Amino acid sequence: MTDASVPPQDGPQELLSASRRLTRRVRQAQRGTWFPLLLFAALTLVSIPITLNSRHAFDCRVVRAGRVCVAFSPGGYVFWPLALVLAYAAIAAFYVHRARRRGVGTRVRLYVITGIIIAVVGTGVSLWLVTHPAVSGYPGPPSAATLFLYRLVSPEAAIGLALLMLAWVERNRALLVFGLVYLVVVAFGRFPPPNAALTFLAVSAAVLLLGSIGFALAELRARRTAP
Amino acid sequence: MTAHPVNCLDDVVHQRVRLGILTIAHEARRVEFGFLRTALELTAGNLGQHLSVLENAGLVHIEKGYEGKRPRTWVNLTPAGEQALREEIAHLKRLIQQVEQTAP
Repeated sequence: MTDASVPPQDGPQELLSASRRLTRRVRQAQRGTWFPLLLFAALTLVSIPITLNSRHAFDCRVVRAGRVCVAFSPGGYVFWPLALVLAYAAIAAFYVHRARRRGVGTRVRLYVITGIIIAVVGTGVSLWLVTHPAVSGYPGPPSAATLFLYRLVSPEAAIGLALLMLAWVERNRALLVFGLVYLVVVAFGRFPPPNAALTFLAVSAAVLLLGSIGFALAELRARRTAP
Repeated sequence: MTAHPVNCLDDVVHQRVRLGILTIAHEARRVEFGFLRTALELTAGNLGQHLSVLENAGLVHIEKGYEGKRPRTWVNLTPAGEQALREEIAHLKRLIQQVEQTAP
C-alpha cells in the first residue's frame, strides 16, 4: 500500500484539458477536407477543355493597336454553375454519410449553402461584367482592379471563398491557411500569354489536388495516432 | 461580493465523465452512444448511468432509433445542457485564475 498522492482527475485544470482533448477528437471525426478539395480539383481539370474549346468573341472594335474583342467561354457559364451545385450536393451527402458512420453530427450545411450562394452570385456578376464591358473601360486595356474583379467572381475564387467557410465550420486552421493561399493564387497569380487561361486552370487544379493529398495524409495520421 | 467559483459548480456537471459527454455532444451537435463509449473509455452500463443522470437533469435528450437494421442511440444537448456546459467551463476557468492569483 502506498500513501503517494494520486493526480486528481476532477481538478479544474484536468477537466478543462480533458474537455479540450475531447473537442479535438470530435473535430477530427467530423473532418473530411480532402473530399471537397479532390472534387474541385477534378472539376477544374474537366473545365479546361470546356473553357478553351467554347471561346467566343463579340463586340469587336478597331483601336489604334489593332482589333480588340470581348472574349468569354459560354460553355464555362453552363458548366460551372451546374457543376458547383452538384458538387456541393455531393459534399453534403459525403459529410452526412461519414458523420453518421462515425457516430457524430455535422455542421456542413452552412458550408454547402454558402458555397452555392457564392457560386450563383459569382456567375451572375461575371455574366453582367461580360455583357457590360464598358464598365471595365472597354475597349481600353483592363486595369489591375478590373482584372482582380474578374478573378474574384471566377468559379475558382468561389471555391476558395467557400473553403474559408469550411475552415470555420470545421474549426480547421490548416484549411484556413490553405484557403487563403489558394485565394491569393487564383486572385493575384499572373500567368503569361498565350496560354494564360490554361495555365491558370492547371495551377488552380494542382493546388487543390496537392491540398487534398496533404489533408488526406494528415487525417490518416491523426486516425492512426488517436487513442 | 461574488461567490467563490467552487460554490458555483454544479454537482451534476462537475464530473469528468458527464462534462465529457456534454463537451462531445456540444461539439458534435448529435452523438451516437458508441462514439461516446469509445471516446470516454467506458462500459455501456457505466455510460448509461451517466446519461440517465444528465437526462433526468434535463441537460441531454436521448433519441433511440434504427439505422438500417442496427439499433442506435443518439444523444443531443438541450438548451439547458448548453448553458450548463458554458457555465461549468466559465467557473473552471475562474477557479484556475483564482488559484493562480493566490499561489505564492
